[in-house]
Amino acid sequence: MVARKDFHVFSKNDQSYLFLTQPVSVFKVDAATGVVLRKAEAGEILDPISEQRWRKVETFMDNYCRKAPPAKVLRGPGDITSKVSGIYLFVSQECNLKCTYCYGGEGEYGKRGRMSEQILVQAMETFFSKGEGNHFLIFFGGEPLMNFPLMKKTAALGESFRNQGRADIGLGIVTNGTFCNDEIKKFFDDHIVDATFSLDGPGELNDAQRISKNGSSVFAAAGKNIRKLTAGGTFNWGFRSIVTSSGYDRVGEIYDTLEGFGPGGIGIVNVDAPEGDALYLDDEQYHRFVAQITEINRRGLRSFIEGRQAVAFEYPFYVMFHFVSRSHALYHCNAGSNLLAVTAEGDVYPCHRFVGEETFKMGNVVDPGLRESPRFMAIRQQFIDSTVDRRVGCRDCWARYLCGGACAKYSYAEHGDIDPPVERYCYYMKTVIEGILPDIISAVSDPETRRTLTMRLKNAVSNRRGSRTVDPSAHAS
Amino acid sequence: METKDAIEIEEVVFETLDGCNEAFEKMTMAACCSTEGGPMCGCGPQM
Repeated sequence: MVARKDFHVFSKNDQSYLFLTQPVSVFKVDAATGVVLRKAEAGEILDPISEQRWRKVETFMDNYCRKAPPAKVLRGPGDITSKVSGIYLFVSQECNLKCTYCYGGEGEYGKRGRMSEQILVQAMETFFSKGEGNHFLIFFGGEPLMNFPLMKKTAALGESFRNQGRADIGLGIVTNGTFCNDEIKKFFDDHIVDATFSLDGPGELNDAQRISKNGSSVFAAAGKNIRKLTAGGTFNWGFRSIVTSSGYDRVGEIYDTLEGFGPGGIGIVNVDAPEGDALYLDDEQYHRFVAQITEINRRGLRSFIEGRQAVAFEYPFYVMFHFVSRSHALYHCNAGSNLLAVTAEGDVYPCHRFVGEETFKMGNVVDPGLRESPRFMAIRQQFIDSTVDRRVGCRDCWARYLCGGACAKYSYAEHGDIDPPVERYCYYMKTVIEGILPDIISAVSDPETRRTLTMRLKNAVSNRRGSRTVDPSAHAS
Repeated sequence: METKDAIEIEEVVFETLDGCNEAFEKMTMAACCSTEGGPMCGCGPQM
């Protein structure tokens, strides 16, 4: 018998859909069946006629699930090795901006400073020196370019590691875009694989939130620099835009502004602010925000199908991938296991979001026994154990394998525990999935569109220069 | 199309994407956003 947690029915535009969680399959169902399924999912008592219909559908679901090939787990606890694939490197815990929503206290995290070469070397030796192949390192801060000399040393050290066959390290950066000169431009062209620029949309909105300590317009400086840095297209790049109570109803405008910079990625997220904070989105604002995000993702899907660069395409991509590959996501991300953060002083945390949370300080890179220390191992195991199959609240959710669970830091902030679900995140994911899945279904219903979509998806995964899709036909002329 | 006593259930068929799982996993390795705030990343698939 298919458990209630293993199916879900939803409707859009008078069409009902049945989703089966375990085999990652979706069906169109007639309206009457949709009504009965909805009641059954809610655990309501059915009248005899509905009960009869439910039994038939239940038999169908049972048979289907029994015959369907088992879904593939993308990354389960048993697949996780001791390899640290990537680190966020806090090269500078200083910033030239004082963004209103910065969770790092102007990027300082309570410990203002810049990383030394000694800490850099120890971080690289600790995590990237065991001949384990590809790794990635993301320059983070504060503003990482305030310690550009160390970034250059990192690149040089990475080259030597590569030449010695110790590691092949891809470099990324998260920057506010306000620093740029010819040397930085050349550094990006020569060494950076992925860049994320923090920019919050239209100039007046951005500059009200992302405030320069010297009083100048951040949008003007960053806008000019981002165009210069991304010219030539040698690396993948995208925007990260934070939406506060000031911009919750301007998502489309934010998207349009960022899209105007060219074919980079666009990630738009709501601010991480406590309830009652002036920046906090109240429930009504949050629902309005999520509705707009859903529309933006539908727009991204249409662009993708039509062959244009789809710049806001996170959720349709993930959802589609899980359907075409029939796969399960057990985690939100790789934090704490294969992905860590190293602060300017060498302290190690599960990811950049946990920096400063002493409970999650795993140790320091100056400790030669760090990776074998009981504390490091225990915190790491805590994250490995935190799958959606074990997280209470997630393990009974129909969307768990499309979602992977909420960010551990968000769970910790809300519940003091990395496991419980975060109500807003659940709402977000379910709304977006139910909003875009009918569009995806509509697209794949036509065999020709389905083939096109699959080809583009495959290209997007396989031909990624970091993260950007290169469509040869788009450059033919 | 499967019809059972006026019950209509039609499976939505997706093409397979064999051979891409490893690439996808690599693509989403840093899939928790690398910037301030927000419940979901943008540094996964950017197209």
